[in-house]
Amino acid sequence: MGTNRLLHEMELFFFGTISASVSHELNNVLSIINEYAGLLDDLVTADKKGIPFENERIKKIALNISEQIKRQQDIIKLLNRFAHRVDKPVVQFILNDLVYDIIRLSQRFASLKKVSLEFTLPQDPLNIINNPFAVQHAIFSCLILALDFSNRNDCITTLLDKEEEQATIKIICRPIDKNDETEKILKRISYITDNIGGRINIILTDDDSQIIRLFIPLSVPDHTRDNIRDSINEH
Amino acid sequence: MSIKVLLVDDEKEFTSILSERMESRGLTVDVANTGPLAIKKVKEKSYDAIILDLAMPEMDGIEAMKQLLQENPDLQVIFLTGHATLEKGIEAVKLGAVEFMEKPVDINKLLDKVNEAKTKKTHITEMRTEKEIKDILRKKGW
Repeated sequence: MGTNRLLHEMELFFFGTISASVSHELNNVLSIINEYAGLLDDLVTADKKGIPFENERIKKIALNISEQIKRQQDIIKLLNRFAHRVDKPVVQFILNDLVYDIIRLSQRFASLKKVSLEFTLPQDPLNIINNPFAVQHAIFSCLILALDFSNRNDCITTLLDKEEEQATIKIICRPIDKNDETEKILKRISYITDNIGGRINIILTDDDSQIIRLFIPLSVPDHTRDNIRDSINEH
Repeated sequence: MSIKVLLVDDEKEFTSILSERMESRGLTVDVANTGPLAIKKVKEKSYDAIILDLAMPEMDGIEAMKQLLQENPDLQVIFLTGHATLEKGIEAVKLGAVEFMEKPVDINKLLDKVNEAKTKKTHITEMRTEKEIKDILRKKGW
């Protein structure tokens, strides 16, 4: 299979994975709102039978429904930003926002493993010109790889920084076993980073943690822009 | 005697409201927010039906059901999930679930399934008791 075809399949899989996860989360919120609606109906039915409801209880339920709607709005905004990152192959964007969003989108995967995701972002916005969809794909792939080797109650920390003409995203996690499967995953992530003029490497730290480092150019080189456009046009 | 239900879901707000609504309809409801906690509760107490979520931290619903059924093969497991796909539903039923329902759920439909589960469990228990009595009588030559 050609690299562009493989990349396209990986992107589709990534898009599907995130969509499935977010739809599940939205469904959870809807289920809660559905139960609150049912509870209000129960209270009215009981009231008709002579068991009056308390106004404070109704107020509390209304407040809880509002909070769930706010939670739902946040999820939808997140999904909307995620989806719109496919709009243009190369665009200027704030990397801080993208890193924040993709960590939030990865939160559900981490929660299912009882792993926490922490992050430190620079105070100043880090503006880059690149392919935002590919950048979020690369970060997500690294986070999922880190999660695969995490244990319960572990914490994965993501740091964003700027070094000379590139942005560095460091993901500090438990060491990853070197085997055929992880080599394959790392190779696939490097297809993503190569395509946007970046690279990935992994280093061990003194405290036996591992750092997955993603290097993303602040401005994608011209020849890479052409490659990005070509690979998109192919599909 | 009221129907005893164990509600297993990691969404605490969801379990809190649904359990209150079920209790107001005369059921006795216990809640577990993780699979391991559900297994612990099943070891301590008998339930007519288990309402189980599919995607939960620590242990997913399918694994939880396998362990619950190992603990008590008569348990009637109803999946209630936002992750409802045909494949998952078939897998759950093949592994022993009696029902696979999608969230959000109509409480009356859920209670119908709980009642069916209770009837089925009572029938299984009666059959087992009858068989045990027959075995004892046969051993004694009566």
